[in-house]
Amino acid sequence: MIETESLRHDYGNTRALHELTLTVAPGEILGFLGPNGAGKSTTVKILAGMLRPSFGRAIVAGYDVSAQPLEVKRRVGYVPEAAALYESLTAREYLQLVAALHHQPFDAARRQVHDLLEQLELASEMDHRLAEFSKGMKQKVLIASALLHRPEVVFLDEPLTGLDANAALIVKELIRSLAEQGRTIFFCSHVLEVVERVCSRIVIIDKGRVIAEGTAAEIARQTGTTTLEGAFVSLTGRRDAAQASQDLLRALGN
Amino acid sequence: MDRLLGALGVDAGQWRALTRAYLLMDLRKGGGVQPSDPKRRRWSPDLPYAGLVIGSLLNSIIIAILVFVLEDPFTATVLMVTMAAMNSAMLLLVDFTGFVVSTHDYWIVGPRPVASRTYFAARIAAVLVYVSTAAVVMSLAPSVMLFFWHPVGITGALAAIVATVLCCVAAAAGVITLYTFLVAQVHPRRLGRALSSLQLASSTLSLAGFYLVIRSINGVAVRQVSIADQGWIWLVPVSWFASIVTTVIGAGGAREHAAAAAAVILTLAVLALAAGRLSFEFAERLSAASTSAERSRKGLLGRIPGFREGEAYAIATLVRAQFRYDMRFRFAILSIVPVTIFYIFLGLEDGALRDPFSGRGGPTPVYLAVTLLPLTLHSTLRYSEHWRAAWIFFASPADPARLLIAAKNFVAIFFLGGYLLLMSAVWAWFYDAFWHALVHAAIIGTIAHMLLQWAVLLSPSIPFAAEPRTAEQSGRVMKSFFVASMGAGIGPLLLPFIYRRGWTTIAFGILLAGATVMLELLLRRRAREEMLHLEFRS
Repeated sequence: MIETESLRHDYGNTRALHELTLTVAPGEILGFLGPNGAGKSTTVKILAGMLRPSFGRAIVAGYDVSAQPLEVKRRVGYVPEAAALYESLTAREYLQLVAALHHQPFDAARRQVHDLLEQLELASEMDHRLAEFSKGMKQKVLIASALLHRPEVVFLDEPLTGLDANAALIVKELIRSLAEQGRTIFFCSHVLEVVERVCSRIVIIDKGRVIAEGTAAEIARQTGTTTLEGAFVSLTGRRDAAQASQDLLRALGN
Repeated sequence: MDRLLGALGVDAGQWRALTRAYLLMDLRKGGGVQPSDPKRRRWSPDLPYAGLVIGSLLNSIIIAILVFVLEDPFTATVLMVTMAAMNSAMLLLVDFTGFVVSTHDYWIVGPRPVASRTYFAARIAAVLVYVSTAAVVMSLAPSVMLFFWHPVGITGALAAIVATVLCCVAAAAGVITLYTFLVAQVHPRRLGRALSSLQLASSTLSLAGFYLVIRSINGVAVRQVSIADQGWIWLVPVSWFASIVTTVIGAGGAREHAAAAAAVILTLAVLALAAGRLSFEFAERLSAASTSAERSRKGLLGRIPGFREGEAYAIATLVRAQFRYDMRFRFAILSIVPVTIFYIFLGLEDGALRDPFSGRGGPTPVYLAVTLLPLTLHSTLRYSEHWRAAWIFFASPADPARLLIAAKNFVAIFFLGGYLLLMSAVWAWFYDAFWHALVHAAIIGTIAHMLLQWAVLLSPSIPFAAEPRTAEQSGRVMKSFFVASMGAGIGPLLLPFIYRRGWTTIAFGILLAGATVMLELLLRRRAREEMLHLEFRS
């Protein structure tokens, strides 16, 4: 599970996160939303043990992220937004490297990697370098690398990017199944329809502060709208979308 | 091994997995723009280390010649160790983010349960493999020469290899420590500029050291040069490493034994110092530095004739931006500055800045800088950290051949031209007549431009469209250095004949101009042919 208390983070003089307090229970899928630059990635980096908070406390899978980041990293899986992979390695080599970093026995890891790649329909490409993979194929490898060590908490930052409709459907089902097994899922995405369908609870942040929390229906009700998209725009929208698109067309000379 | 790593706080299993992965990646070719037909990839071997080995071997031969010339084995060993260590340090300085830390590490290894110490140990192991490979290759020929020409025996020759490797490792760790110190102290936005300044300062300092040594032995026949009895040499750490050979062959006294022990202690100390500095936080700061740029100044590019529109404008914008923001590219260009200043000082010492029209001009190191510049530029233009952005050249109706020619023209006009302008001012000061300097600059400039044309002709590539790989670029730079040395040594011997009479100068000028035009036509044809077969692989 995840518990944060007055979490704050500053980049120089810029405050990226203001006193963030939230709890995510085991088996829960939390949708973590916000406009660009709202502080989502900073929050995830802190919770995944990659960044020390400037102030406050965060407990992930029973460990303090500041005091025991390695214990946290042993228990979390992370799919970053950017497809960060060592692209000179093959898919098999990369996943075996990840397994080794998680201290998985070599033979068992080799079998597991093989099975995983087969399930992800990458069996015929497993010995191709990741540089040759399409965006969707790289995303599958990233997802596999985050789940390989059976983490208790999974952070997913735009996990469906580049996936085809079939693969996206499988991943969405996988997320639900993981939650049913009691794992905590922290789901960041800009695709609000997916968040609405997959997540049991949603938190919206803007400028480092929580501005709404609840189920999709509750948030829509709080803002007097009928959809999560409407609620999101009403909470964070700086400009009218129709007017903005007209301005863009004008700038393009149309 | 596992126990030792455990005692150092390093997770042996993770270390092995990471080191293996880093070495595998170093040995593989990167992505970027490549010919679609595998048969056309004949000159792009899948082993970037091959370039490094060839380059090191060429340097090894040069050092071996010096070892052969010198009578004193200690002086020869000091020279061998110094040159190898300088080479290793310079390679790391030029290409730190390629060799030591990747900016991607933070995102890939950061979320895994890997301690900073384990990560560092894996990265340093990969660097040490690289540095040791270069050091062993560079010390091979000089050690053979030591064995045959100096009374050191097989043990002494082997000790010379060990001493060179140790010194290179210490130099590499020193560079890492300096770099990481700067990264910790300077704001990411100013880091690029600060790192370039560090690179320039260190190369200037090391060349200044060389200059002082050369001055101190001025007037002594090279063969008889001996520094063993000079007190000051024991203040220079390279002499400690050279003492390992003296100690091993049993020729040294207490001073040599102490110096040899100091060399080993120094290596361990610098390694330990560097050990505490490389971490994920460091990788994160480097990553931040690569994304936060200094504020851009308003450019004048739109007003430069010939670079106002189309592919030429695109390339001018790109080269200018690369120079401002790509540390690797900037240093490759700027590194010519201290080398030139050094060569000018050397030229002043031996009178090589004399007017070539007077019939007294001959080979001078200044020509090395002039010939090295276009070759360095060509090898540097090929790679970029942002090579993925080259998709734009394939997604737009840009003509790849025009892009290539525009890149060549831009560096020829602004970098080579600027450099020659500076040199003509220096020459004008020293030569008998102002116009001698101008004619000489024009002729040298045309030859340098022809070298650039030749380099592009042999290996045409779209600028900044290839993924930089460890050791690949260094290997190219080392080979360029060798070719430039040969050209700068032999070419100027012709100068007295060219400048003997007015008509010979004019005839040579016409010949050069004709050859340049021919080369340009050939180059354009080849570029069009080759560019048709390129594809973007990402």
